[in-house]
This record gives sequence, structure tokens and C-alpha cells, in this order.
Amino acid sequence: MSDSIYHPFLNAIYRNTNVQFWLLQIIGWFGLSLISFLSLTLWYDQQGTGYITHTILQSALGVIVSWPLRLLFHFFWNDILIFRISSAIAGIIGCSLIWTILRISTFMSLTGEQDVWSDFGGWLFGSILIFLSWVAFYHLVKYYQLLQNQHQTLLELASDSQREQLKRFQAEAIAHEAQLKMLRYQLNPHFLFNTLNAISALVKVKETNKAYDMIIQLSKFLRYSLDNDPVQKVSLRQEIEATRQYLNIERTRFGSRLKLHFDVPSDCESIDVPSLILQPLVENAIKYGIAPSEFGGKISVLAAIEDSYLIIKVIDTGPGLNGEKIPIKSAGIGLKNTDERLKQFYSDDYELRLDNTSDGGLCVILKLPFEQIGI
Amino acid sequence: MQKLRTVIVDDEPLSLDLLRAVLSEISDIEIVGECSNGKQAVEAAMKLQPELLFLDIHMPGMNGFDVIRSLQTDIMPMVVFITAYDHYAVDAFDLHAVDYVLKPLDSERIARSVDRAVDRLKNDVDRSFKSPLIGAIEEISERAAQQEQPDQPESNLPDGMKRKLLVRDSGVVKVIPFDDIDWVDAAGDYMCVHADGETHVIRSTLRDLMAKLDDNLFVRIHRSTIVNVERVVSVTPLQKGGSLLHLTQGESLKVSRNYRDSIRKFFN
Repeated sequence: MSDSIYHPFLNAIYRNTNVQFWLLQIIGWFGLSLISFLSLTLWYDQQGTGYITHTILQSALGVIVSWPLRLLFHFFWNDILIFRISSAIAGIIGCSLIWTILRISTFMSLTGEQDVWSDFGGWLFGSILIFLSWVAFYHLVKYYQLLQNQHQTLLELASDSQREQLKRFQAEAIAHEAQLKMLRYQLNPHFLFNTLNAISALVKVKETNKAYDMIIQLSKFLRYSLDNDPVQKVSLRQEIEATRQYLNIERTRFGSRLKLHFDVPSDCESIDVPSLILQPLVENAIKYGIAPSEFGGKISVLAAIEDSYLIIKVIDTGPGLNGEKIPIKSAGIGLKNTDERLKQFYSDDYELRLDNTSDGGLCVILKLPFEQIGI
Repeated sequence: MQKLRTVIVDDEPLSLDLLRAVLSEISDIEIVGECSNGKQAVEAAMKLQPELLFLDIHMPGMNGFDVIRSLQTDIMPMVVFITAYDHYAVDAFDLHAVDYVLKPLDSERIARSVDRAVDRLKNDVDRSFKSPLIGAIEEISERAAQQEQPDQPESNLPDGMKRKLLVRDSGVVKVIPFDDIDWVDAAGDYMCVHADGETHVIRSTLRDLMAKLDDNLFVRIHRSTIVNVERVVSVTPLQKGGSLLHLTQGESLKVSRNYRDSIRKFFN
């Protein structure tokens, strides 16, 4: 993620720990040369190329001698603490000894000074301090890198899971919409052809005004059922209007066999409901309550508000259903789809219930959460 | 030529209006009856003896198929079914060469059905109109039963069923004691068994069934019809030597002149 904010050269350093090691190694050791030159060489007024060469040479030797320490620490890195500490101490002592010996012998041969060996302890003390610092600095850098790495990994993990979650949300939304589309009310071809037949009858017997009215009602109903987005909600007023159009068409077909009754108080009309949610219910009422009876019957559509819920009832005077409590699962595909659709909209905060009425008909009760436009 | 005596049946008043209006423009047709349900249709067919029946399938109470099942083979008129939208039915009608018209009714299509009926009346000496109708109806109800219950296991029935008839109705096997049978008529490969006001259709021949049934109880009254004599309430003589039997369930059956002796034997 942070790749691109550095210059490519710095980027290479940032990523490659080998490069980092050797860079710090050179800066550290030749920084030491500089300090050594500025303090010791100048202080003791040691002139001559031999001394200057020696300060540079001892740093070069330091680079080489300290190199195995890295391999040593790598080797023991994952071991228990005691091994790591002992190996570090042994490494420091070993390297200090070797470096001191090399330093003194090169110093003597480069400067021609004699009897430097008697001062071995002083030289060794400095060496130990330097290698101690080297080891401390090495671990400091190493742990800093580790911390950075962990931080980076965590960030990546977090962004990964965020992406995953986003994908899941999108997939769920698509599935949800597909489900709603599948459960959407589909125009019953039987209804359409029967209505067209009734219209042609009205034309044939020259009842032109009735035919005209029926064509207009059919077009309005078709527009409503074909245009509506299954995911959107509409006001109860629109939904009742479409139901009325549908039932008026059916009344023209069935003649005196179908009676209608609507009772929808005006304070219910602005409540939002899923579009075409009543359609399967009134179609069932026609199919099972009216059509099978030679004398027909009545369909009532009632609405009311009860405890911040909208209650809609579709009641027919047909034969009803067997049994006291009627599970939705045993009902037809129309009611099952309605149930599924309501579940998609309201999870479990709704009710769809069937009841036998006292005079033997069927009452479908719909209880939906109160949702009003503009409130 | 003589006009076709026609009865039209539809439960929707507008649909009946349209059918009447379209048929009245055809010179070969004389509408002798109009019915708005299945029961009226059965009565009209018996009483008016029409040659042609335009019959809506979806009707309250007795539907168009029930009308066909319960009509006596020997008086069955030619039938044109009327349906709005029924994929299965249309397939089955085509398969069994049963005539049908679709809603919205098309006057040209209806005129073609009438022409076909006129032809059949001239050429079809056999006049077995019921068997293709029953064939189509059985095929439709079999398909419907398959849709509802794909794997209905065959019921294992105990022995001692010799005096009983097994019939299959929408995937369910029913047992009907012979004594409960009111009357039976044959339609091609099918037998329509009428018992307790219901009609059950089985695959059998009249000869096989006659062999099983009690000779003292069941008697042939027409070429394709046998009746349980205990169900006969009264007999009305008709012109040309035939007669009409009235049964306990309120049904009427026609007795042909050729079989009048066999029935007379029982009532003497």
C-alpha cells in the first residue's frame, strides 16, 4: 500500500533487508572511522598516512568481523532466550578478541609503533563496547522491522476483510433482489384472456360504453402490474386502487355473482406497502370463494391501524378451509409466495394468517409494520 | 339442410352473450338451449337431445369435464369445448381430436368448428362422440395428478375384493362396492362408472365389466349403457319405441328400442 510514496531507490532499500544491513554496516563502521579520526588521531596528533589508513582499515575489518554475528543471530533467532543471550555474549567476546588482535597487529605494521600489545586490555575494552553497541543496534533495527511488518500485515488483513465484507453485502443485495423479482406477482393469463373475451362480448352486443370502461380499467391494471418494481413500495391508496380495478373487471365478467365491499379509512391510505401484495389474495378469493359457487359471493377488503401496525383483511364468502388453524405452508403457491415476499421485506416483523369466518368463508389477515411516506 | 340443434353453456353471462351473438350469424345453427352451469347442461342434453354442445370448461359446481363424464354415451352430442388458457387441455384435445375454441372467441374459428360438426354428422355413422372426449379428459386429469403427487405408491389392497371395483381418482385409489354402482356407460377404451352421484373413469371394456357384475342386478339398456335396476324409480315411454329411465340420484337414462325387452323383463 505504501509502495508508491517513495523514490524507487528508497523503495528498494525499504523492502530489501540485505541492502539495509550492508548500508547500515558501512555507515556505522565508517562513521566510527570518522569519530576515531577526529578524536584519537587528531587528539594524539598522530600524523602520517599509516594512522589514517589504520582508522579506515580497522573499520573495514569491523565490517568483515561483525558479519558472522548476523549469521549467528539469524541461526538462534527462534531459539529460547537463554541460548540467544549466551550466543550474543560469546559472539561479542569472540568478535572483540579477533578484531582487537587484527587492529593491534595492523596498527603496529602500519605505524611502526612497538609494544602496543601491552595496551591490549584498553584496546579490547573499546572493542567490546563497540560490538555491544553493534549488537544492540542490530536488535533495535531488527525489532523495529518486525513491528513494521506486523503492522503492515494487520493493515492488509483489515483491508482484505473489508473488501470481503463489501463483496458479501453486494452478493446478498443481488440475491435479495432476485428473490423479490422471482416472487413478484405474475399476471394470470387466464384472467387476461377471459377479460378480453368479456370485452369482445360487450363490443359484439354493442354495449360500447361498458366495453370502453373495461378497456380503460384493464389498461390501468396492466400498467400497474407490469410497471411496478417488486423491490419498491407503494402507498396503500395506489395498491387499493389497483385491487379495485381488478375486482371491477371481474365483476363485469361474473355479473351479479360477485359483490364487492371496500372499507379503507383515509388515515391508512398513505401507509407504504409492497406493490401488488393484495393481488394474489384477491385472486385466490375469486378462484376459491366466488368462481366455484353457482350463486357467487362477496369479497371484502378492509384496512385498519392497530398498535402501529397496518391490518389488511381480504374476506370472501366461499367455502373456507378445513381445520381450525390453517398453516400458510399448506396453502397454495400464491400465498406461499406472498409470505416469502413479506419475509424479504420485513424479516419477522409481519403476520400473514388465514382464518375461517363465522359464516364459513375465508379471511386472510395481513399485519404489516407501519411505514408512512414523509414521516 | 336441417339446422344443427345446439345448446350453449357458460357461467359468465357476457361470454354466453358473445357465444349466442357469434352463433346466431351462422345459418347452420339453431340454438335450442342456454345454460349457465353444468347441472343445467346435463339436464338440457337429456331433455333437448341437441346435436351440438358448446361447453365452457371452467364452471362452478359441475365443470365441463364433469358434464361429459356424467352424460350417457348413447345420447352424447358433438361437443366443442371453450377454454381461456389451458396448456395441458389444449395439448390433450389435439391428441384426441377433440374440438375446442379459445377465449376470446373468434367467429371464424367457431364457424370452422360448426362446419366440422356438420361434416361429422353426415359421415360419422358410428356416432361414438364420448370416447375421444373421455380420452382427452382422462389424460388431462392424469397429468394434473402427476403434477400434484409425483410418486403415489400403489395401495396394497387385501383380498376379498371380488365384489368391489377399484378406481383411481386423481392419484387416489377408491374402492366401490358393486352394489353402489348406479349405472355404467362405455366410451371407447374407457368405462364411466356412476356411483353415488360421482363418475369414475376406468380403463376397461363393457364385456369385461359385464362379466364381473351381477346379471340379476345390472341390465343393458342401450348399446353402451348398463343400469342397476334397483336404482330405477320410474319409466317414461318415448315415441318411436324408446323410453326414459329415472334414477334415484335424479339422473335420466335413455333406453333404446332394441333393448326394451330386457328392461321390460325386470318390471314384469
